[in-house]
Amino acid sequence: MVRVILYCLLISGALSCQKQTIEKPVFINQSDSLFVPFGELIFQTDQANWNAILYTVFQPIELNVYEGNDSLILNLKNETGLVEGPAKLILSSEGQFFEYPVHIKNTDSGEISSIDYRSSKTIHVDYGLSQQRILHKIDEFRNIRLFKGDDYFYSDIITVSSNAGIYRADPNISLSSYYVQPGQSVNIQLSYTFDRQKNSFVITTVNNRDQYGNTISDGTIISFIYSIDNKIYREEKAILDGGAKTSIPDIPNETIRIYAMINNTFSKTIKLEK
Amino acid sequence: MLRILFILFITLLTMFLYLRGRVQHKAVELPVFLKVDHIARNHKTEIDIKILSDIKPDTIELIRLRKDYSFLWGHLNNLYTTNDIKAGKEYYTEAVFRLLAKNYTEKRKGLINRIDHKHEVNIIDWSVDGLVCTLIDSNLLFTYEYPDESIKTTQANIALVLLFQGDHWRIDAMRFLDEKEIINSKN
Repeated sequence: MVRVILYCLLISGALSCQKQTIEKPVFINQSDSLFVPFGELIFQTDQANWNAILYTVFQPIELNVYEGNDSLILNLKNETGLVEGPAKLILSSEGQFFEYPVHIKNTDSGEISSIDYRSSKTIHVDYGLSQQRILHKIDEFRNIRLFKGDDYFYSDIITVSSNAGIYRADPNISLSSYYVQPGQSVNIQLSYTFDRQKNSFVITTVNNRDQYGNTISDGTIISFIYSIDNKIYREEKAILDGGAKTSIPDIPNETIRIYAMINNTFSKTIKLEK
Repeated sequence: MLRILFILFITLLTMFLYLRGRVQHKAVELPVFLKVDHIARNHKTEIDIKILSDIKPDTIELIRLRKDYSFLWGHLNNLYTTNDIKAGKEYYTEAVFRLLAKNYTEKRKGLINRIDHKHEVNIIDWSVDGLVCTLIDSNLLFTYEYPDESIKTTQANIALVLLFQGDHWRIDAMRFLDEKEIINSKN
């Protein structure tokens, strides 16, 4: 008799240790796409103590769980957009879990930005006016949007304006700035006057422009090279507003010849006369 | 006399404790270049790269991309399991980090583990300055490990925008194109 009781106890103990199988809750308002933020996701189940996690491709998002009579209602803690695409909704209770594949779509994609990356950022007109442009569109929740037809990305090589200046690929984004820099001077004109008070020649060059008519960059070095009595002198000045000037004291009975150069561009040689 | 000495002693003791507290160093977060990123370094995956862009990266740039892309997925998988958004912050641009933070619920013990076995990276655009890369990762093989030890293998296609910021590539945007199940140990 004692043995029978012991067997009974053992069997009932083993049965109580066995995991109770839970039936998979029925997703009542399931549809092809899970539009986010969703109001409520309703499930039918008689089990309690549920946990619900929505696994997007990036991260697990815990959902609010409300348990009612034979039902389970889920909603998002933060009513915001998500990364779109395939995702998993996992319901778990007492060590058991159930998976519901979903496809996330945002009801409102928020602001869609047209991204325009330019490269290179600095264009030097003498080395060509071509620039690479990479275009795509991103919504507020970092989902890449279709750009043109079935393509998500587009890139091409464009020709930028030859007018020197600072431009923006997107007028609203200062980080999208790119720079067109003037090239080197194509023609140097020298002129001079004689300053009687200081008894010296003042040699000037103005309006130095590149091949596209841009005033050449401030700080470009211009060399004035002049010869007096078979000796050659060189004087360097920095260009400001496309021009520069220098002065050479007059030496009686000596002929002064001068020319100027910027990089590889030379002016005509002129003879200084009072 | 004894009382004065006692008060003096207490004052000195208080001052000592106060000053000691002030000079104590606070725990500081090490700069990125001094940290060892175990999550990234322990991650292994197979990456095939096809260059479809007119402007092509050079070999050194490709080595860098391959390495950072593996590190990025190491962190994305870690994020998928743990929801620890801070661990991989070096591999997300500010905009992506903000999105992750916005949807952050809590750090949790992993329920599902995701493993990325294989990537076929098709470089669609590569910028002349090497700072922007758009790509489609096709036939990406994922394995999901569930708590009941069942596994599921899927094949996915993902479009990505990567930006080179700081000293590595970061994810800036994504389009999870599709995912289909190829093996399910439960079936």
